[in-house]
Amino acid sequence: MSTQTAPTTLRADGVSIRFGGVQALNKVSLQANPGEITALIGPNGAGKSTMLGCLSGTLDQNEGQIFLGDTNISKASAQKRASMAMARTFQSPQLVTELTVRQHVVLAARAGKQVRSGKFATSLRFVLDLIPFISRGISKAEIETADELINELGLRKERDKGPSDLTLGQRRLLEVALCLATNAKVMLLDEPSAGLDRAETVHLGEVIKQLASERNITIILVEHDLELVFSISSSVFVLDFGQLIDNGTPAEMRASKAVQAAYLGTVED
Amino acid sequence: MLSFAIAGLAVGALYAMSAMALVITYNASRVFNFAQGGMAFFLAYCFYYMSNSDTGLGWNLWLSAAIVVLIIGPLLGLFLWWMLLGKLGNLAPLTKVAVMIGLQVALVAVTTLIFGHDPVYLVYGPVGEPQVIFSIFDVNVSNEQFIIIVTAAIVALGGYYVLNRTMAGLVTRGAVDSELMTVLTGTNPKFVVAATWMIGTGIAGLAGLMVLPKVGLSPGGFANLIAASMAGAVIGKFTNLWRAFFGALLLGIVQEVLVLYLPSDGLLGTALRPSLPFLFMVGAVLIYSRHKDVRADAQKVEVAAVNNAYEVSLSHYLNIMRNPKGHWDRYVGYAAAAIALIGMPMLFNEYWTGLIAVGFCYTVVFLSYRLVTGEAGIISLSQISFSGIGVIAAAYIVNNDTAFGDKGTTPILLAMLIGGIVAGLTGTVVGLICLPLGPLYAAIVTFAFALLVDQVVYTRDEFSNFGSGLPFGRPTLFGLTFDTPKTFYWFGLVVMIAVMFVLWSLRRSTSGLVFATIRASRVRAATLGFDVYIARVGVFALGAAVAGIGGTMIASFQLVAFPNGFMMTIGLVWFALAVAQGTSSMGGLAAGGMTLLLMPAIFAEFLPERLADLPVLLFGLVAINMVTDPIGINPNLRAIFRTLAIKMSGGSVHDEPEAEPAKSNVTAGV
Repeated sequence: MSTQTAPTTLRADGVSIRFGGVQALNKVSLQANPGEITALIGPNGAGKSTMLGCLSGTLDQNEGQIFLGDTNISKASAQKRASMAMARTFQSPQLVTELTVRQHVVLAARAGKQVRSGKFATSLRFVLDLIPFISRGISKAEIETADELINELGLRKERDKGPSDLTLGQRRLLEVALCLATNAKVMLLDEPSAGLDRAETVHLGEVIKQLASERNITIILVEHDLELVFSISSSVFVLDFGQLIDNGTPAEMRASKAVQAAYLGTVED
Repeated sequence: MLSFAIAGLAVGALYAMSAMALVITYNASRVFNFAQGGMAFFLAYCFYYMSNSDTGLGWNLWLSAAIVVLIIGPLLGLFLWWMLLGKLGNLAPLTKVAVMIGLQVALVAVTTLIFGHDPVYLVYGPVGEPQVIFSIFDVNVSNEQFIIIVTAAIVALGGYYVLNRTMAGLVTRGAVDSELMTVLTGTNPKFVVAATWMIGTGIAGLAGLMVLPKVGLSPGGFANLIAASMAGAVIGKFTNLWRAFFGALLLGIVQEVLVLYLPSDGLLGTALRPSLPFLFMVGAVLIYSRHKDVRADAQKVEVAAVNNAYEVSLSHYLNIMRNPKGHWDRYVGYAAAAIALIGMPMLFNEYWTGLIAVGFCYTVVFLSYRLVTGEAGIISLSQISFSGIGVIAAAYIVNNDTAFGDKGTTPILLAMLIGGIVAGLTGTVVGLICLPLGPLYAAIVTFAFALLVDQVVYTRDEFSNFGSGLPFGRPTLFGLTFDTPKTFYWFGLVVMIAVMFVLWSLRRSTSGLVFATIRASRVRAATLGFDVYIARVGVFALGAAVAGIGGTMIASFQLVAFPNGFMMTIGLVWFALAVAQGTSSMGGLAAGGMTLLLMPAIFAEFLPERLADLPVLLFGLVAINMVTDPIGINPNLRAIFRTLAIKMSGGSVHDEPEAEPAKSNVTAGV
């Protein structure tokens, strides 16, 4: 008997990946539900970003399976997963020097629409883009929509700047804006608050929380800022040396001995 | 069979030594030595000059070889490292390749300027006249074969010993993995890299000297050696010395042994052996593209390209161009261009008008670099081959009975279009092969493809017409034939502007934004849902088609489809010039196309014939200059004009872009 899960529930079963002699992930399982923020925490080198890589399709796991709803996406490419309304940010922001903040957001919005319209429509778009006066420059309406999002994330003053003129924190915010602009239903956020000050971090936390609840988005949050994690997450999974060592509610994880040991170490008698 | 195997072993040993030099230098510096052919060519000429009693010094062959391999080669490596190669480490892949291609072009030009540019076909290597020295199972082995095989074995074993059993080898391997750790051992990693270039250049020279009797003294001959050794380097994933060595060795053996099993004529008989380096590369790329760590490595290279000197220069340029003031300068530029283009046919005579008209044709070819490199970020060294394929396809249709018309009746314009389509289809196949992996693989595979076309396609009599080229004609449109330089000028100008318009449309569209993303980060583009591979193949094919159409225009003006005008060695000059001007800049590419035609013509007018290669040297040098100026000449000039316009408008280049209300004039890129 099989139970049907929500179409945007993201589930990993026994995911393992090895880089040469290093077992980066060892049979890690987790589940993230729509409308909730699922946090993935752990010390440096625990395998959190590697797990996001496997979930988003930028890395191929050696073992284990990944499901989006009831669909097995274990072998799906990154672009295929994006076409299934999955988006992610990167620990080291992957932005385009040649594009302004505004252009980034417009591109992401178009990407969200285009990739879900199928390969034929995308190919047709490429052909049309070659024809003068039919090819589509950026419209006023697109810019207005993009500006709303940019303002919401506090990047208003930066919207005509390129990534090289942004601080690291602003680059991370722009990465989050790209996810939002694609209208994704599943978001994988890799340390979005790194480089932000406390006030910016709190604001970002509120935006993420609001997104999850209002738009019913499934969010997986990899984060070092435990204060942020414990304040906005519904459930927390803790990794250490590629192993899932514990999971539960934020309150449970705050009290977990295993988690404390992973972060602080143990004292030998 | 044994005699072919021994001959193959000798050929393979040459390839293997050359492959070893490529891998050694890449390992230490992360720079792939596209100039190795030029280095070997220069050193071989030095050897020829020293050893030849008629035109040179007439020294002993072995003494000359020793001086070249042990003194001049390492000194050349050291000099180039000091001047150039030591500064390439942190540059973007495109800049590194462009600089190395520029160096290759410059070295060949310098060599011919010093020693003359008449090819020498009968020339001895260090061994002198080949003689049989012993027999194995009734198979004669020459002194030349024996010495090549023994030398390669000594180089390989010596390399193994030094790298694995000595402190110097340990330090070298350490410098590759971590410069910082090498510093902590008290060794300057720069000296390690310099020493590696000295050794690599010496080995390249050794292989070059030994291949001399087979290929003579011509740059094209050395290209074969380099293509084969590149196949070895690809098999070794650029870093594995032994895989590269034995891969290249195997290639040489297979090439010779195949003679036994192939017919002496026909396509298979003549085409398969020269195709082997390309086929070996294709095999390796297909295998490695399924291999995750190479995919990851290709991706890592792309990501590492961010924050390099190119990005810094680009950011500086974009900051100036995003300044809210001074945007009127573009209209001044458009007006000046319009006046010049309309006025030139009135000012110049038929000869110079014709030259400018051909310059438009070359510009169309150069605009293909905007698609391939400027949009998709692909390093293609085979644009010239796509031009050549377009030319021979168009000429073949015109000169034969085909579905498009009987011999001589097919309209030239239709033939040009079909030439472009054939080039585009060829580009699709090449793109599918070379694009799954990183930029360096694409550069090498396209290099090998260009060489393959030179040897397998252009040499066929049905295309080359026994070396004299197939007749071709001028296009006719609405009853008007563009049969004079002045009328062809307008035809070329209209086609060039039409292509520019298409490229402008692409840049400002969604696809333009997508390609900007792909250039910056393939992984970002993929996670936004774009099929990076297919998009790149698509634009590569389109670039090939544009190059094909440009090629047919050149042939149309010249009234002959002459494939030898589209050889790989010339294509390297095209690439160097296009990249140096700035592949994202249409103005730069137009300047490149014009310079390619006009500079040699001007030099021929005013300078003696022995300096005919001076323009080529200058083209190489401008590509080398990318080491200090990675975004290219034209974007820099553009930035200077914009800065002037900003100042004239009362602004400052340090003004930040204003958060303007919505406006829709946004275009990505340079």
